Amino acid sequence: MRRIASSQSSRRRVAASALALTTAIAGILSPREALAVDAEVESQTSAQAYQLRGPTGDPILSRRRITQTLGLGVYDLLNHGKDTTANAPVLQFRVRMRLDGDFGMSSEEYALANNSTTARFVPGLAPAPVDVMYGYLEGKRLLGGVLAFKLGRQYVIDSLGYYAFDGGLVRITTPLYFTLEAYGGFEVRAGLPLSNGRWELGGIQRGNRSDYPSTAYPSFQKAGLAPTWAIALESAGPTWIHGRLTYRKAWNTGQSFVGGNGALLGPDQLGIYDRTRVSSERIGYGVNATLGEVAALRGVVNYDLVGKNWTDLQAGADFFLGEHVVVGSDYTFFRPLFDADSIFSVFGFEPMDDVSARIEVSPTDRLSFEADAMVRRYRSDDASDPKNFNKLATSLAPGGGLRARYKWANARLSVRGQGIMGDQGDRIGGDVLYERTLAKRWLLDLRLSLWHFEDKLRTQAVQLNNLASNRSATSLGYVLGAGYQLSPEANAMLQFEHDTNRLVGQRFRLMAVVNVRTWL
Amino acid sequence: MSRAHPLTQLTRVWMTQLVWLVAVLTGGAIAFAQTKGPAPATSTSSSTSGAASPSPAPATGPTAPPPSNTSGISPMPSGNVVPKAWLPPGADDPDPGPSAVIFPSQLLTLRMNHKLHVQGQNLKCVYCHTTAKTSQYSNDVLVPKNHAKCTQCHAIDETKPFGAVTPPGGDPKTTPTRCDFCHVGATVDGANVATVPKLIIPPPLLKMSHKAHADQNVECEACHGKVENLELATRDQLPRMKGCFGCHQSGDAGSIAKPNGNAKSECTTCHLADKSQVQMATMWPSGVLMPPKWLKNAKHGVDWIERHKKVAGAESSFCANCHKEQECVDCHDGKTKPQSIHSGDFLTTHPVAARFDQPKCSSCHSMTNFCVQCHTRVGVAGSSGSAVSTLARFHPPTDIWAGPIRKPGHHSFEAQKNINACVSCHVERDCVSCHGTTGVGGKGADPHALNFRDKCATAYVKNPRPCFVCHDPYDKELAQCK
Repeated sequence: MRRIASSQSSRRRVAASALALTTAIAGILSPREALAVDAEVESQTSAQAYQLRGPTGDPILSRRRITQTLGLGVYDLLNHGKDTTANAPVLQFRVRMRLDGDFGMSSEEYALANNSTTARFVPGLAPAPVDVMYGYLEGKRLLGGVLAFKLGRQYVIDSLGYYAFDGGLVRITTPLYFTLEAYGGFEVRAGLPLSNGRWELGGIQRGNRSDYPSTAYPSFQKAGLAPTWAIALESAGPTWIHGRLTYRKAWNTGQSFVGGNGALLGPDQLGIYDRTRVSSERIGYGVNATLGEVAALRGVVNYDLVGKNWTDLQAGADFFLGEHVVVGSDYTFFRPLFDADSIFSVFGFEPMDDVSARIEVSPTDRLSFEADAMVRRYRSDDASDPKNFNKLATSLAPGGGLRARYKWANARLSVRGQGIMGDQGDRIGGDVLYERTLAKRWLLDLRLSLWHFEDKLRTQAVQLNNLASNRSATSLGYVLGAGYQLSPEANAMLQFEHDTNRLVGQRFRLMAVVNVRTWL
Repeated sequence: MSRAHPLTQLTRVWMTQLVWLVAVLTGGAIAFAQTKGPAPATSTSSSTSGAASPSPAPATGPTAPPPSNTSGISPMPSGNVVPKAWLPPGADDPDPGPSAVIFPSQLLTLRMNHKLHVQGQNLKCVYCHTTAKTSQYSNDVLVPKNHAKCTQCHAIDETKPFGAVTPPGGDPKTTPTRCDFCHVGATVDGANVATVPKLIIPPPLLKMSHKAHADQNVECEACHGKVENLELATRDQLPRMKGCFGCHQSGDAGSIAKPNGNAKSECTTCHLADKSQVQMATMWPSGVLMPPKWLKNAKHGVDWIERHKKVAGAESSFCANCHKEQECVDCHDGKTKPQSIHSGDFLTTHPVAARFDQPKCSSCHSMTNFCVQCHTRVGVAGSSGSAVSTLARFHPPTDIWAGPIRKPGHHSFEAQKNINACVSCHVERDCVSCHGTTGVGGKGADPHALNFRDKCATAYVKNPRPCFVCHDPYDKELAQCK
């Protein structure tokens, strides 16, 4: 009980932090001087209820979720007013917070009891986490367009993928058509205050272990600060070509469980490794070029300096065949990447590569079609010669899709079909979507879906285990949705989803959403 | 002015209508923008957009213009298509005209033969468009606001709205000019008061300083094409964005390299911003601004939701011109299933999709913080608590799937192929039981790749932590990487 109480106190701390941040935001908003700043407030509240059941029917998780986001943007802090002069300096502040509560969650799942090793406890699970998705002060076009900065929790997106960190970013735009960018701070990680681990590299579970017995759940590591820095060189100005070269490094700090000789160790045998070590170190380059009305080219190269592996290689081109037709093709090489703390990062696994092609035809502004085809190649040792570690075998997974859309002034009809087949399973199906606004205030949203899938890995398990059922099924579902524009600043939507297949019988999902967005 | 006999009036109306009909059938017409907008009083389309339609004639008028005089009511004589070389830079062939959103529909009720004035009379553009080099705002009206300029050549007497028509070759300075000679559709009432249809040229939804361009010696034709070769100038002579990029190719600091030139390529250099003054305002009564395919290959087509990463992943700052990050993270860090991505009963069918869709899945879901947690809750993860762990094995029998001897069906083959599928359910202690150095066979099953020893020294120096999960710090196997 002590630990449950401790968990509750943890939640109180989170709530207190959220309250403090809200107060800070309110402080920023409170009028001190007659600054002509523009402030925008947006919020989204969604309530969802549905059930999730295990492959054999049990357990059934009742999910009753309330997710609320609250965003604030304060613009024009330099008080330019309505001066529309192009490229005036900009100073602005943006923040967005989120509460993600599941009131269907059992306390056994998130509150650590004394007999924790046999309960339903899930390390790191929280019933109503609060996090700050982003919150930063940003200056742009300062010093004659040379300087830009961001201070606070922020995202960076480039060829290395999404990244979130708390810290500062400075960008120097030179007159020589390139920009130099540097940023540093601490990676946003699960288990740290008002954070989630959405963008940290996978392979290692981290979180707040403050309420855990010292050696319980050793795979669940204590989250520590993760210092990070990066530098990037990016083109600036020309609209027809863009390239960005990024080098980024992050470290892990704090205690981490290790096992002396690797066996499943008893609690007393676990070791602790607590030196600062590299979490990731990568360099990546992405380039896109559009050659007039002829073609668009793209490429990405990412290299992992810890594992000394290429992790992403991409090359693609689209060709514009007249006004209405685009054809394109892409090659993608992908090698999974994990945090350097993770044992998965030193496992022997193979990359996979895709070749794809697409054609898009838009006979009119209203009507468009797209068709694509791809094939993925997997590699592994040859299973037919399992003792030979030098012989690689490949397997192919072909797939493709078709899409069509017709737009009216106040309605849209879309059809989508997709399929992929391989030795891990097949999945094929499609959807029809019809959306329409009525009387300028109502929104109608209708969807019909039919998907069939064969789980070939499971089938193998079933055959070998002689189980009575397999995991293949055909699923039919539909969604009925209706929305209403409550005011220019607010709208609401209600969605009912019903799916049926032989594995789960009937599944229902109800969702209500209210969006508010207003300028103060 | 005396009132004409009713029969004479009727005849004149018929004659006027006949003139217009001839003009229309020969393709000439008053220009009316081809896009949606208010219904024109004299509805025709611009030269490059094809057909014209009849327009109402003046209700009254003592003398109709000669049928042969269709000068200045369409860009080209007989309604011919304007050659691409005369259109503004960046025009397509065939050209759909400038952006219908940026340049809303116009209603041109003036007859104006630019060719006659510029080439014939050797007049400069600024003779009539007097503020063309000093205007700083896009809502400045650059067409003459009254007759002051016109009367320098045309004998206009506003008290005699239907005085006479300058005959071909005649001197406009001496022959009184009728209202409807220039004001198409002009009427006059019983009190001899003329009413001319309103000329509607909505301001473009842009920031535009003609002065800034003129100061850089940018000639009119650099944006408007060869208007001097045309009769009527229409919307088709307004700039194309592609043409703007002929100069606008500088970054924020462009003005430092070229202090007198400042042709920045940021969207809000020209496009109107929303209240934030940073992002473009994209929703307008005339439509929604969308990027064309030739701009970063960012046309938002039917498969854009699948394709957008190729643009956004490379240059997210381009997307940020219109989109706030909240629009990105609503999906990429979202908590609500987007039907456009996961339609139907995705919960049931997702295992097969997830095996194939890497790395797509990880662009929105963290394997470790999302997949593992839910799989643990629902009982399919290796570390699921005994209270929920499913009784049916998910994998083939242990002796095949995870036995000490590798044979067909062994998990190592699947792990090699697609290790992400393993990581979405398993945590490190699930693996250590066998792969630790005292695991299966007393020495552990080596999970490393064949070439691992070539690379392990670097990995060891940067982070030896995963090594110590399975190896004793003094393990001689480990020494090879030190």
